[in-house]
Amino acid sequence: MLVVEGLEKRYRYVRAVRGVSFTVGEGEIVGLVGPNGAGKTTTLKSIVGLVVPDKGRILVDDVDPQRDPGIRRILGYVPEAPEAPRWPRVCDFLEKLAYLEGMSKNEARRRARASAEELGLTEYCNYKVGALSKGLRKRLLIAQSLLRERKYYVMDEPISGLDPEWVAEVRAKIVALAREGSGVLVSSHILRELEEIVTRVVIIRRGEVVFQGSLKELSEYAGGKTIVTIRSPNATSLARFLAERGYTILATSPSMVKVEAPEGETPSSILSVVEEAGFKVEGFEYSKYSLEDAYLRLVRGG
Amino acid sequence: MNASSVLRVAWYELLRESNKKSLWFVVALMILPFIAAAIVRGFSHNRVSDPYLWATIMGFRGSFNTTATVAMPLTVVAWGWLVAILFGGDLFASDLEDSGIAFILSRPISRAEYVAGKTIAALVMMIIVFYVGGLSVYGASWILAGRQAGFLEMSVESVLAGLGALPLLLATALLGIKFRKPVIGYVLGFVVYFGVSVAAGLLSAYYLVAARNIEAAVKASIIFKATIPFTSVSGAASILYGYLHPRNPVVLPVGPGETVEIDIGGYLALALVSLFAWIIVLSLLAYVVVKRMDF
Repeated sequence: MLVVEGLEKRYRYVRAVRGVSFTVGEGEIVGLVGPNGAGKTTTLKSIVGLVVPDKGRILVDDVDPQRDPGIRRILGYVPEAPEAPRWPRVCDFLEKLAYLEGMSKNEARRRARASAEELGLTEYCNYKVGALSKGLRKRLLIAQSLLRERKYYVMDEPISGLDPEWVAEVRAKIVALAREGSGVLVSSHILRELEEIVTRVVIIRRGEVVFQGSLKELSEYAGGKTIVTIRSPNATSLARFLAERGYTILATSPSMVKVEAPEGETPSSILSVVEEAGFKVEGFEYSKYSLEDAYLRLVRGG
Repeated sequence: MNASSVLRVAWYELLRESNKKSLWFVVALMILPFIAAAIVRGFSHNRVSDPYLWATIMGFRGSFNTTATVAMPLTVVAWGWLVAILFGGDLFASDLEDSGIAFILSRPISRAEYVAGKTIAALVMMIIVFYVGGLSVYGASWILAGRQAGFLEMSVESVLAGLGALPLLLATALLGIKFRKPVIGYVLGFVVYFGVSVAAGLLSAYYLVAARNIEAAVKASIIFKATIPFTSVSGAASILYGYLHPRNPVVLPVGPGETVEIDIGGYLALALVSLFAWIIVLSLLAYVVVKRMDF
C-alpha cells in the first residue's frame, strides 16, 4: 500500500499542500485531480523524494522512501514537464537510467530496448533526446518509468501533450498495469481525461483534499442536483448577481452562466429571479449533474 | 551509503561530462604546449638543457624561481582554476536546468549518494584533465630541453594538482546549485578565487612592506599555498615539488647575498591535510544544501 498521511509543504509564500492524506492500493488506479496550482505535482514529487515535505509521512509498503531510498525500486515516476537531459541518445538514456537503478549493463540494455519498443520509440533509439518533439519526449518519460515491473507508479499528467492515438495507448497501458497488480496514482487537471480508467479519485483544491472516493460516490455527491445554463449577453454581470445571492456558479463565459439549482429551487424559479432583475435571457437549459460538474463544484469551493 | 549507487552516479556523471564540447576543448588546450614546443624547436637551434623543465611549465616550480614566477601565467596550473570553475559551475546546477535530477533522485539513490557520486566524478575528471596536461607538458619539455627526468614524480604531482583543483570546483558547484544556475556558479566561483587571491597577496605584501620580513613573507606565502587551495590549484603539488627538488630543506634567496633555509616537510603535511579537509568540508556542505532542496 502507498500511504500519504498529513502531507504538508510550504514554499516561501505559498502553502502548496495542507494535510493531504490518501492511499493507493495494489491493483488500483487512483486519479489525483485538481486545477492548476492545486498541489498535485508537489504531492507526487514528495512521494518520489524530489520535494522534502514539511510535515506528514509517506510510506511505500510500510517503508519511508526518504529514509530508505532503495524502496524506490518498486516506484515508477513519470514527471509532468516533458523535460529531459538533451545530451544522450534515446536508448542510451534509458539504458543509463536502468543501470542507475542497479541493473547489470546487459540487463539495462535489454530493458531499455523493451521499454522503448513499448512506447513506440524504437525508431528514435539513436536520436538525441534534445531532438525529440514534446510528445515523443513525454513517451520517453513514460518509457523510463517502465524500465522494470513495479508495484506502484506515480504519473504526473502522463497523457498531456500526447496525440489521440497515444492517449488511448497510454490509458490502456495504465489499465494493464493495474490488472497486473500495480497501484497507479495518476494526476490530471481534467477529470474527463481519467474518468474512464480510474477506480477512485482524490480531488485536491488549494492544497487540500476536498473529496476522495469512487466515481459512483462522486456522482452521488452531486445528489441528483440540477444545473441550469443561462445564455445572456450580460453573462458576466449575471454571474456576479447570482453569486451575490448565494448561488454556486459552476462556469461562466461572456455569453453563458452555469449555475447549480439550490435545494428548494426549480429551474423556472431561477429563470424568474434572473428576468425580474432585468437580465436579458437568450437561452435556458437545465440538466442533472455530470461528474465533471460535480468536480467543478468541488474545485470552485461549492 | 551504498557504494554501488555512488559509483553508478559517478559513472553517469562521467558519461554526461564526456558529452560536453567544453571538455574536449579543454583536452585540446592541453595539447597546446606540445604543439608550441614543436614549433619553437623548429625555429630555434638553441637547446636548453633542463631535465625538470616540465615542472616549470606545469607551474610547480614557480614560487622558488624568479624567471619561473614571471612565466607563471603561462603555466598549466595557472589556468587550472578556470577548468575547475568551468566544471564546477554545472556539476549540480545542470541537473536542475535539464531536469536530469528528477530521473536520478526518483530512483533508488539517496541525496548523499548523489553528492558523493558527483564529487567522485569531478575528482576523476580533474585528475584526467591535469594528467593529460602533465603528459603533454612532459612531451613538450622533452622536445625543448632534451631528456626529462621524474616521470613518476610528474604523474604524482599532476594527480595532486587535479586534487588541488577540487576545492575550487566544489565551491563553484555549491554556488551553482544554491542559485540553480551554472553561470552564477562560474561568476561567483571566479569571485571566490579572485577574493582569496587578493587576500593572499595583501597578506604577503604586509609581511614584505610593513613588516619588512622577507623570510616571514616567504613562509606566509607557502602557508597560503598549503592551506588555501583556491589561490593556486598547484598548492600541494608545488610544495611536494619543492620538497623533492632540490631536496628538503629548501634554500631560498631573501636578499642580496642572503639566503634562508626552510624545512618544508611540515608545510607539505599541512598542504595534504588541508587539501583533504577542504574536499571533505565542501562535499559535506554540498550535501547539506542538496539535502533540503526541492527539485
